[in-house]
Amino acid sequence: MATLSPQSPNKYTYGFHVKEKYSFKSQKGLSQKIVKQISRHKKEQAWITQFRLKALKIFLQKPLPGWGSNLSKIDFDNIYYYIKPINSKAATWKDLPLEIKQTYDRIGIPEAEKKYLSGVSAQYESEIVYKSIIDSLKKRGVIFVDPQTAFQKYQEVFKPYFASVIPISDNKFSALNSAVFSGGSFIYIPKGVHVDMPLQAYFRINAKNMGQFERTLIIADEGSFVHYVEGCTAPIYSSDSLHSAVVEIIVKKNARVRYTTIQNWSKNVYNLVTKRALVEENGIMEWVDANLGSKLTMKYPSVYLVGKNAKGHILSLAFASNKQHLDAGAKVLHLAPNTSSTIISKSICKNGGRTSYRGLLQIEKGAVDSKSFVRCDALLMDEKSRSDTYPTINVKEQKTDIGHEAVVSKIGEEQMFYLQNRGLSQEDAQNLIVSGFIEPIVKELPMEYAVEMNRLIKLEMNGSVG
Amino acid sequence: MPQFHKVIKTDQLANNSMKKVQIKNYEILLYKVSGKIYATDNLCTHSPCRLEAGNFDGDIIECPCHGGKFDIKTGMVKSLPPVIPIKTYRTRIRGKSVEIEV
Amino acid sequence: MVVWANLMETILINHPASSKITIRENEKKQVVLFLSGNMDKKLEVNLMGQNSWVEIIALVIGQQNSKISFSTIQHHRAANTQSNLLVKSLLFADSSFKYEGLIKIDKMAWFSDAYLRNDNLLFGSDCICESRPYLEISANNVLCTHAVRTGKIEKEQLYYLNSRGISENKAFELIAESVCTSLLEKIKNSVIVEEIKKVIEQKLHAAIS
Repeated sequence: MATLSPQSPNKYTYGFHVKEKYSFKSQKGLSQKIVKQISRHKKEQAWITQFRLKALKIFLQKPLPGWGSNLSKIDFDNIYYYIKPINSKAATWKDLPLEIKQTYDRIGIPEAEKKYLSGVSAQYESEIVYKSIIDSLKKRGVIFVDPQTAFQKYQEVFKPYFASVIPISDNKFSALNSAVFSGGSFIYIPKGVHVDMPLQAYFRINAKNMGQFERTLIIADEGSFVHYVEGCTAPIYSSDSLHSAVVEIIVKKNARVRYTTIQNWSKNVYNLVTKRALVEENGIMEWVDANLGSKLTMKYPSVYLVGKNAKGHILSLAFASNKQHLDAGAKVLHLAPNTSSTIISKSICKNGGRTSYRGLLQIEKGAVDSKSFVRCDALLMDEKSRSDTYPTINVKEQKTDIGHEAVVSKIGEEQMFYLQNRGLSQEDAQNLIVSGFIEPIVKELPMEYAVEMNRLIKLEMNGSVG
Repeated sequence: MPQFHKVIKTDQLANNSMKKVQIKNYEILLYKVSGKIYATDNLCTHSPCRLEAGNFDGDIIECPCHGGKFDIKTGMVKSLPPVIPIKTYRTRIRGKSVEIEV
Repeated sequence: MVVWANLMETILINHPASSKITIRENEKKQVVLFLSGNMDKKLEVNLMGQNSWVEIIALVIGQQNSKISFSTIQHHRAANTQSNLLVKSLLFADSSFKYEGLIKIDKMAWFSDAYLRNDNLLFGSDCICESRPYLEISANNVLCTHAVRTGKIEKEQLYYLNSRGISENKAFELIAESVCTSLLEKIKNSVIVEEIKKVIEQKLHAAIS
């Protein structure tokens, strides 16, 4: 998605301004030259440039993963890694694919947002309101900026943690992100501060923060709380075929972080994300992850419980249709005593979609009295679709209690019969059952997302979308 | 019963460099930093990867496979994805030889 | 060894090599396995014919220095097929048990049901247990579930037995025996039951002492 805003370059409080040098807008592919250009453009210090170049080298060396889905079709040389040609966004409303316009209407996206989401308008009218929210946060010592500003103004806060949870060489795509990252959120919450309102990149969506290669780093200091929300239920049209983000979270003692993602990229996108949280003593990490869009998503939010009494909760929802493959899951590692975790994964596939749950639950020796419960359920709507479940449960500590359950089924005939008997149409009965199926996850979303999510699922179910 | 074993001569290990040695079936990596000698296991605790092929900078050894980092003095993990500290060994210099306690 | 009983065939697999079993139309089979010591066992069951049914019962006892690797495949290739797998392991001392169980349901295997259950009881403080219950489902009119439970003996159970003058070792023995007995009760062939009962008692005794 384009990350430049030619209209009003100086109105934003953060972010870079690119007005000139369109000469490299049409350069595709990845090379040292491009990486150095990115760094120069962002006016980065030498250590960051070196970091990017090291990452490029590692990215080129590493092979594609031999598991998951088929990534061999990604043509790495045919991708814009930084500045895109100006016509990558729909220039006018009528250029936007019909199903996306219709979805906006049906799920009730406000008029102003519609234009912004579709890229027709580069600015969101309520910018002033947004600015005052940022100011009030600043007064409490909360830092909420993009990576470029973070390195320029708050290096001593973020540098010690940057790439400590997900190092460059973690996997091929963390290396790619480390070489070309641009956009994302760097957040620091001071000790004891509770941020009651969910932090969103820029209301519901910000073109800058919805870049291809976002890099997010959240540090919640002792006793603090923050809820960060990214994404949008409305489908985002993106001409970019590859999105690879990295999210690192550090939850310090007694702190709590909730990270909600609603991903609905258009169906041409490969979405490969590495997300990991480190949780210290008494800390709590909650991942709420909803996957609706993209051609292929590979994403496994992880929690490393390193301090005693730490807790991790992962809620994952995936809805695949029409040749989509959503390969999602969760990883929890219990590395200290008295830690606990729950993983709840709900997936639905219809019309030739494929959902896979891939998970790891690991209890290391010494993680005494740790408990974990995993539940992954899948609803297979028709015989064209496919559901896979690949969990690994690895226990090296005797004093522990682990439970894992999975159920794959279609919508129960008895349930349908019961509801239709009470006057519901087949469509409504199905929708009700599916709503109930995904309720444990939808109820954890902020209200406006939950409303949109329910409407969107209904549309997907009725085949009215995509 | 752990014992000290001679492994190399002191002049075989330059400052700010590392060298792999083998004692019985232990693969050990020796480091020299500011004139002092440290020793850790050669195998990363995250995946079967040899640290000798990784980057060594100051007090930190970085695993070439997934970027995990360990403090060579204490063995503590400095960067994920490894979660288990790496084993360290006591070293001493006797005459012109470096010895490791195994 | 194959014994016919009540139109259902019970098969005891007591050789360490890989096994492949085919279940044809209208057939019902029960497959029994006992694993201990050092083993790397693979079992593949293919439900090829409609209305076929299989029950797989496996008991695993890991003693000191045991390394056991077990993988199963329940492959449903026809409609109206049912499979039910139960693997129970009792792990002592520093034994390690790695289990991978795949349930695969092909597109044409409509109206099939498949179950997998793996329970692992850790008696020893140094045991390692890894479970991978996999599912690959391509048919939608099916019901497929799996469950894994791994943990130590409940404190309350031990306390109850201790308070009645039963030593910890004896308590372990009693609990382990009751797990074995509940499994053996599912086996429909008394000859097979007798055959493996002796072996189980021997292994259990060796593992606990």
